[in-house]
Amino acid sequence: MQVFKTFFKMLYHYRGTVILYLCIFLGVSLAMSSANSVDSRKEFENTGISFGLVDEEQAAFGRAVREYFGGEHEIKELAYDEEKIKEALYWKEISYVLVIPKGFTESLLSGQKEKIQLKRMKVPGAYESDYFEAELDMYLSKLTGFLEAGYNLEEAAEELNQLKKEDTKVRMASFVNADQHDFITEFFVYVPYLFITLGMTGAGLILFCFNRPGVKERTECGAAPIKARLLSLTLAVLVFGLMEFALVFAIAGIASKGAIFTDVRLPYFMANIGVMLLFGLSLAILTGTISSNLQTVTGLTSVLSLALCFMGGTFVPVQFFTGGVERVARFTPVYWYTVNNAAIGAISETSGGVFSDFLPQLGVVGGYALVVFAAAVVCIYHKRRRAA
Amino acid sequence: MQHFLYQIKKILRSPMVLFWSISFPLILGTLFYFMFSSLNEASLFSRIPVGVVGEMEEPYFMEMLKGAETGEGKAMFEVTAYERESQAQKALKQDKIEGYILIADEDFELVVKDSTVSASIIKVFLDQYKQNRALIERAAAHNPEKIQDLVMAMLKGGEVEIEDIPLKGQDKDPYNQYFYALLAMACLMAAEVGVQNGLSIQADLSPLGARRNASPKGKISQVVSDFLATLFIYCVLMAGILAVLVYVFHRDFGSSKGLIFLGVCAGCFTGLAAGTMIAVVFRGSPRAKDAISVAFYMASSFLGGLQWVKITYYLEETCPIVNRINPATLIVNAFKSLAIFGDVRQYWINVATLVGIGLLFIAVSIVKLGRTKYASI
Repeated sequence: MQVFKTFFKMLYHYRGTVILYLCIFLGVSLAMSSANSVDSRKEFENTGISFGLVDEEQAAFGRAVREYFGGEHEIKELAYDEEKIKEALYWKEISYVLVIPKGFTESLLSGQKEKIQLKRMKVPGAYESDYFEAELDMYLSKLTGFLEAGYNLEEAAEELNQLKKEDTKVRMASFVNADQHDFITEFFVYVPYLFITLGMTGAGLILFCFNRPGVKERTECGAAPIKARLLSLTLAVLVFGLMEFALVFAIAGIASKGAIFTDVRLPYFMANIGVMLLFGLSLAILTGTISSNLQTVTGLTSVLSLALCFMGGTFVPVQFFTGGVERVARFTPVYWYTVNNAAIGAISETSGGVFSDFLPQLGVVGGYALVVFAAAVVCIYHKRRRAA
Repeated sequence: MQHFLYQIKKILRSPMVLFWSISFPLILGTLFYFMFSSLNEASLFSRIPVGVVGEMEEPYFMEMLKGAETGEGKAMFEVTAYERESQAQKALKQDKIEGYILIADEDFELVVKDSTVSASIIKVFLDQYKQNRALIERAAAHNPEKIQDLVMAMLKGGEVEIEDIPLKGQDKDPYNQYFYALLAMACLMAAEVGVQNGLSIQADLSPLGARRNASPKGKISQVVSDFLATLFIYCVLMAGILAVLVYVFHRDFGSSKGLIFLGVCAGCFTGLAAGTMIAVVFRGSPRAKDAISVAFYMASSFLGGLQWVKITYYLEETCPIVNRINPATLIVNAFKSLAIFGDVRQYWINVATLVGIGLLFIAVSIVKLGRTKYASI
């Protein structure tokens, strides 16, 4: 009991440090989840961008472009100033710039398209600009088709505006939960980062203090046997974990205005987060055991938290992983947590969910927690034997 | 000079902080290298599995869907026909298809699970089909004399070339930003050594500090020697890390190697200055000061886009001042301005701001240290 109490006395002593870390890592998680969450996404979303238009001729083609693309995208009228345009692209005020040179409409109508060409500026590799350019290509292709068939530019533009209304109806499948990307689901994606960092810098730091030279020797001379000490420390770490667990669900409760507590997904989320918590705590115990100085605790926290979360799909979505990366990612517990979290997020009242669907993934994460904890215990006994 | 050499010896003999400063960017850099190389391959097109429920009267629809090709001549869709919607729904639920086309009364709708890129591509294809059909129907109704010319013109494909005005940089890889942010964090991790430097000059925080305060050498000159020696070691280390990123991981930081290295040095300078200021200005135990320095570089790196690249764009819309003063963002933007935009002016703005912030931190530290007096050492 004395060891258990000492753990919390030290936690109180280091409260400033722990609260500081909590604010940073919680802030990171909340910022990312609020930016990535979409409440009640019931309809399919088309991508609209902000693009710059440099119209040097102020003729019919420019008007047609404004009319066709103006509804879906935001058009910013610009003068041709390369420095200013680069600056706007640099700060992402615009994603693409279309330059209509003088005489373009005339060359288009005369059938000499190659005489005066449209120009563009874009940041290479940016998804938004590629998407817009594909749309622009299709527009230009149809427009020239009309012109070659004998339409004048106004008629062709009007035909294209009418055709634009002919778009495909898209709906979400009935089994999909409209809230699959709600704040709660997105926030829970970042929970592994919170648990790993906070566990290692909170519980890990205190366990490191217990293992510091001098403190450790004095503890060894105490009356409490090693098993009792280990049990007390493990219990204390579990209580610390419960505090983290309660904090996460308190935030989820506040963010959802209490809706999470009546949500059909709650027990699945709790189970998934629970096993992830165990893994974070095991890692904290191992860090506190093997670290010889504070720099090691901080260094291990930075490297392990970022590496596990990048590989596990916390920062880069799992859907982007292919081949070798996905195979390697499967060896990280965070990957299985993320996969489960997405599946749980998609559960709806009608589709329901069964624990057996999630059990294998929960088992993998729980297994990792057990292995890491066992490694920590082995390290403790090994260190003790070496010191004896 | 003697202090300078002693400080170098001292740092080299306590290598734990330096070890993490080196191993952090190298370990994560290796991870990023394998991860993002694969993501680049993933962004290359692969066939999209799509289901079809029902049949159109016109046979061309299925033929067009199966025959659709990308610009590189690869098949666009992997088409599976389902007899009942429930079968397609089951396949969609199990991620076997990205969406299914439900045909009824010579019209169709697309059913998907989420607003993904693949779903958008299927929709664009269907829109094209629908618009081309409507185009012919409209032409037949209003201008029947033009219908043949129109079909011929559409088949011919009147493509308009768009001339590219290239940005002056060469970086074509959007994932490079993660490497820039990683290097920015490695630079700012110098704050931890800066804290140690700041602690070692304060008589009430370390025995070494007490001895150094009692020496005839001025406090400010000791601080400057410590600072320059640490900065020298950090710049050498970062040069090595930069070399690994450029020559081993083939990351593009722009063509001007001198400017890139200068950007890294400016980052280390500001990181060290921040650490020194944290140690001198903030009250509390060494552990608390260490925690503040970790919080500083973690928060700065997050705002610079280490975990989430888009945050700088998001901040630009909501709170642009953060992008102008956050050290990690300034380092990332300095690299970006060279690598993507080839813009030396923007680079100098970023580096000058970064150095200005560092100088401000140092000025605050010097003023605070100069005013600190001890009743007894």
